[in-house]
Formats: sequence, C-alpha cells, structure tokens
Amino acid sequence: MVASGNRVLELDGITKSFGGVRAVDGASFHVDGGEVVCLLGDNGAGKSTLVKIITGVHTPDSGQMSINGELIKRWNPARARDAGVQTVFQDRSLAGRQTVARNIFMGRELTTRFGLIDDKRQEAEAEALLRGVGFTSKALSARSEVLNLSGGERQGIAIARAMHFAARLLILDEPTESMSLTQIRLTLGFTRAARDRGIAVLLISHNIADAYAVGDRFLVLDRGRVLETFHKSEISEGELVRFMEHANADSAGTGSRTTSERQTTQESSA
Amino acid sequence: MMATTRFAKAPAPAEPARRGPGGRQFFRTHRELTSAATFFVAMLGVFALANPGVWLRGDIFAAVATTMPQLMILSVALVFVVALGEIDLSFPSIITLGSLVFASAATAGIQPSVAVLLALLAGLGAGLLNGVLVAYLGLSSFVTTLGMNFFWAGLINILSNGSGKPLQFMSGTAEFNAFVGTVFGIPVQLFWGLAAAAIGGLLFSKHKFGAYVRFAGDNREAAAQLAVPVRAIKVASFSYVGLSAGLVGVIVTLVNVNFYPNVGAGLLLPALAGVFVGGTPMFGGVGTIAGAAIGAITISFINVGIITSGLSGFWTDFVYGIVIVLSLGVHRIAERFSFRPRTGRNKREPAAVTPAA
Ligand SMILES: Nc1ncnc2c1ncn2[C@@H]1O[C@H](COP(=O)(O)OP(=O)(O)OP(=O)(O)O)[C@@H](O)[C@H]1O
Ligand SMILES: [Mg+2]
Repeated sequence: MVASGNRVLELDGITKSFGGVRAVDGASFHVDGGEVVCLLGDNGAGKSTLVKIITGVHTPDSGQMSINGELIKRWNPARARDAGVQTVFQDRSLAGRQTVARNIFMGRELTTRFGLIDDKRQEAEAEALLRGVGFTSKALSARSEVLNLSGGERQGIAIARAMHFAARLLILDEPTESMSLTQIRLTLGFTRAARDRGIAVLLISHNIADAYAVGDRFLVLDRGRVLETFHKSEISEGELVRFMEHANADSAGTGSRTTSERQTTQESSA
Repeated sequence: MMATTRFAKAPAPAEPARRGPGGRQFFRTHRELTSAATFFVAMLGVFALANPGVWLRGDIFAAVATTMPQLMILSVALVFVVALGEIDLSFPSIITLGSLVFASAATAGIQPSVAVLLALLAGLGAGLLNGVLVAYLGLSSFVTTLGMNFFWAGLINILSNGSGKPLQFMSGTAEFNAFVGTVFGIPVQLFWGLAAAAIGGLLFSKHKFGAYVRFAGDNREAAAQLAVPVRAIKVASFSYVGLSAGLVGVIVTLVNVNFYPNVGAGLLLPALAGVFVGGTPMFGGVGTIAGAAIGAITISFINVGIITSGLSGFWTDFVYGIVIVLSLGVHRIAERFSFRPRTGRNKREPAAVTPAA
C-alpha cells in the first residue's frame, strides 16, 4: 500500500485547441496514488482530450504536467507507458484483425531467447488474464480475432490489458459504457482493487451511479476547464446527479457559473 | 509473473484454451496461404491437362527458377507495405537504379562485391526516401511512389544516356556464381528467393517488426495509443522494399550480364500480382508471406503454362488477368468458408472495431 500524499499526476493550466475549438482550457487538477478521481462532464467537455494529453497522444498548447513528481518536458505514448500509465481509451485501441493475445501484448511483447514473439506464452497468459477478469464467453479465446467479438468482449479485453499493466496511473475513459450489469460490477471491483494496490485511478463516466460507487473525488469539467471539485464526503449521489443535470443545462446556455450558484444547487437539492 | 496474479480475487474457473481440431485451426489461421496454394495447384492442373507430358520435364522448372526468385523477393517485401495499408510503385525504378549502380561500379573497376554492396545501399536509400516522404510528410504512398518511379527512371535515363552497359566480363566471377550460378543444376537465385521468403516470413509473423506493421495497418490510431512507433515502422517497411529491389537489381543485371536502362519496368505488375494472388488483401492489417511466395510462383508459371499449352504469346496478358481475378474469388470464398465453423457463432459481427464515441 502506498502512503497517501503521493502525487502521481498533476496538471496545471493545460490548454489544447483544435483549429478554432478550445477543447481543454486551462485545466488544473491532480490525482494521488490510492484514490479514484472521477472526471465528469458533458459530451465535448474535453475529457477524452485530457486523457490523450496525459498519455502523450496529444501535445498540449500550454500548461504544465507532472507525473510521479517529475515535470514533463517531452512526452509521448512510449514514455507514458514506461512511467506506468495505462489507459482504456474511449475507442478501446484494439486492432480488429489481430488476435486477442496480440492486442493485449501490443507494445510489450513476450519474447523468446531469439527475440521473437512467444505466441504460446502470450496466448496462455492472455487466456489466464481473461479468465481472471471474468469476461468470458464461448467465442472468446486468446486466438480469436478481435473483429469477431462482441462490443462487451472487446471492452473486456481493453480493460484487462490496462488493469494488467497499470503500475502507477490507470485511466478509464467510459469503461462501463454499454456493459452488462455483471460486467459493470466486475469492472468497478477491479477499479477499487487497483486503488487499493496504491494505483492512482482517473475514471471518466457519464453514469454518475457507477462513478459515485467507486470515486473518492469528483471533478466536473465544463468546456475544457475544471468547474468544481467534490469530495465524496461533501456530496451525496443524488446531489451529484442533480448538479450534473444543472451543469449540463447551463453549459448549453450562456456563461459560466459561480461558487454561489454551486451552493444554491447543493442547498436546493439537500 | 503470471497474468492472473493481478486478479487474485476474481473467480477463475479452470477451462482449457478453446481450439478447433488441428486441421481446421490451421486453415483458419492460414486461410490466405491455404487458398493461394489450392489455387496454384489447380492452375498447374489445368496446364497439365492441356499438355501432360511436358510437366514431367525438369527444364521447365529450371526455366521458372531462373526468373521466379526475383519476383519472390519483391512480392515478399511488398507484403509489409501492403499490410501497412500503403503501396509502393517505385520499386521497378529502384531495381534499375541498383542495376545501374552495380554495373557502373563494376565497369569502373571497383571490386564486384563492393559494387553489390553499393547497389544494395542505393536501393535502401531510395526506399528510405520513400518512407520518410510518406511517414513524416504524410504524403500518399500511391502518389509519392508513382512520382519517385518516374523520378528515378528519368534520372537513370539522363545518367546513362539511355544506353546499356555490357558486363560479359562478370560472367564466371565469384559474385556471378554467388547470385546467378548453378548448384546441382539449380539456379542459385532460387536459394536467394527462398531465403528472402524465410526471413520475411519470420519477420512478418514472429518478430515485433511484423507485429507492428500489421497492428499499424489494422488500426493506426490504436497503434499510436499503444506506443507503437508507427512512423519508424513505415520508414523501415519502405526501406525493406528498397533494399529488396536493390538486390533484385544485382540479380537481373547478372542474369542478363548487361545493364538495361529499363530493366525493372517489366516487374511492376507481376510482383504486385504475386502479393494479391498470394492472398494479401489491400485493406491493411493482414498479409501472408508464404502466400506471396506461392503467388510469385503462380505468376511465374503462367508464361511457361501458356507456351506448353501451345498457345501463342498473345495469350499471356489474357491469362494473367484471368488468374488474378479468379484467385481473388478463391480467397473470398475461402474467407467466407473459414468463418462458418467458428465456435457456435454463425455471423460475423458487422460492426467496426471502435464503437462510436
Ligand atoms: N482530434 C480532434 N480534432 C478536432 N477536434 C477535436 C479533436 N478531438 C476532440 N476535438 C473536439 O474537442 C472537443 C472535446 O472533445 P473530447 O473528445 O475531449 O470530449 P469528451 O469530453 O470526451 O466528450 P464525450 O463525453 O462525448 O466523449 C469536442 O468539441 C471535439 O469535437
Ligand atoms: Mg470522450
């Protein structure tokens, strides 16, 4: 168990624009080892863009980022991986015509003495991993082509991969979207287990119930900036749901909200 | 560390890996190869029906073995580029470039083995240039390599004044014997072709390089997210084709004991046909080196088949066309067939890999 106060991720004023669209606009927050931080926000709020910045897929236009206490200078997916960051991207990052095992070990192949890929070992481990996660079904084997699997099975593979390799930071972008109740329960269980091992978890979900079930802190992202932060002790699930409903309704309207408005929301819902 | 340790709490019903029976599993994982081989045997069967006796003669096979390896070397390398979802149309001119470099160096009195090395380097360099243009400038590989094919062909014409170089003095040298001599009546280049196929096959199916090529050709974004060095892989693949074209340049020059300023041009369509007849599809992510080798052999037998069947040379292109289109049909059928016995599922999921955001 890692002691708390161990800062795994820290973002300060991160900004990213695509052409005229300001997807992330001065976002600042942090995630410590051993906590689950939920990033909530409307469609297009910039959640997935933040994920891609943290994982080195996108370079931010400005702002600073530290991982494991080190200020990031040049960042890319390989460095993020080597720093112990593992991610379930919203699009799941699976190659459909490759086998399940090849997908799980992509970029971290198990090799033989001669430097060739040890498919036997990869398949055995992938098989064990899938059984361990409990995402089993008749059609799912380590040698299946991903293209032939169901949406839930594919999601299970992406989650198993990230859970297996995550060492410091686990990022889950909509992990439970379109999952069965059993699968959701398993996924949330693994999320807690990762936190209990001291891993920092950043969870993105539109399902407030799922997020509230595992989250320790909740960040509300609105048009690319962090609008509010709640500790679990500060807010009930119902209040969080209502806050999100208001936030979504507001961001469809005009300007930004103030702290006093936030309190009104909380009071009215209390 | 075993994968299960991270999930110690989860239920783990011990269940053995599900595999089909050996033969079916082989067919499923090697379906392009199987259908390419089936097609080749069927084609030989047709030719044999047309003129049974001639196929018992060894000289037929020796004739094929003289020119087939060049196609095989090219088709094998091209699989990497095609599996990446790209194409290379510049290799014919790179072959000629290699040939020119080799012939010029050898005639200038440079040691032949050094001349070979220079030709290989020229091919590698031209391929590297393709790769950099495509991967780092984001240019379309179809247009870029089409342009480079003209560029090198033009440059070669300018440098050589459009005239050839005789190289009869190379005949019988150690280098000549190493590339185009004969061992027990078998043309040596056959061994080069088979070695290229073996190395290519190992790289493609068992090495990280091939795994990255396929993954990046399958889903480029996912590859980038998983830290696959997509650009470097592209550069390496085009360089590989360039190097192979350089090698073919040396071999054709020694076969002809002459440099011709358009020697590579005739190989464009047969080498590409070898890739596709072999079962590698255009859409990327999938490919087969063994299939490409069989594809190159299939293409090489067409000429011989036509002659032995008593048809005139005018039939050649016609038969090429039939072979290419028919073989695609065979692969298509094999693909559909191979999905049917899959464990209890009849339908192939129509959805794309990535659910909509
Ligand atoms: N590569 C890109 N090019 C151009 N615009 C982009 C790109 N990626 C994201 N955007 C834009 O940036 C904004 C934020 O997108 P992002 O995917 O981060 O939203 P999100 O919060 O993840 O939404 P959702 O909940 O729907 O997944 C959107 O307006 C989107 O259109
Ligand atoms: Mg998103």
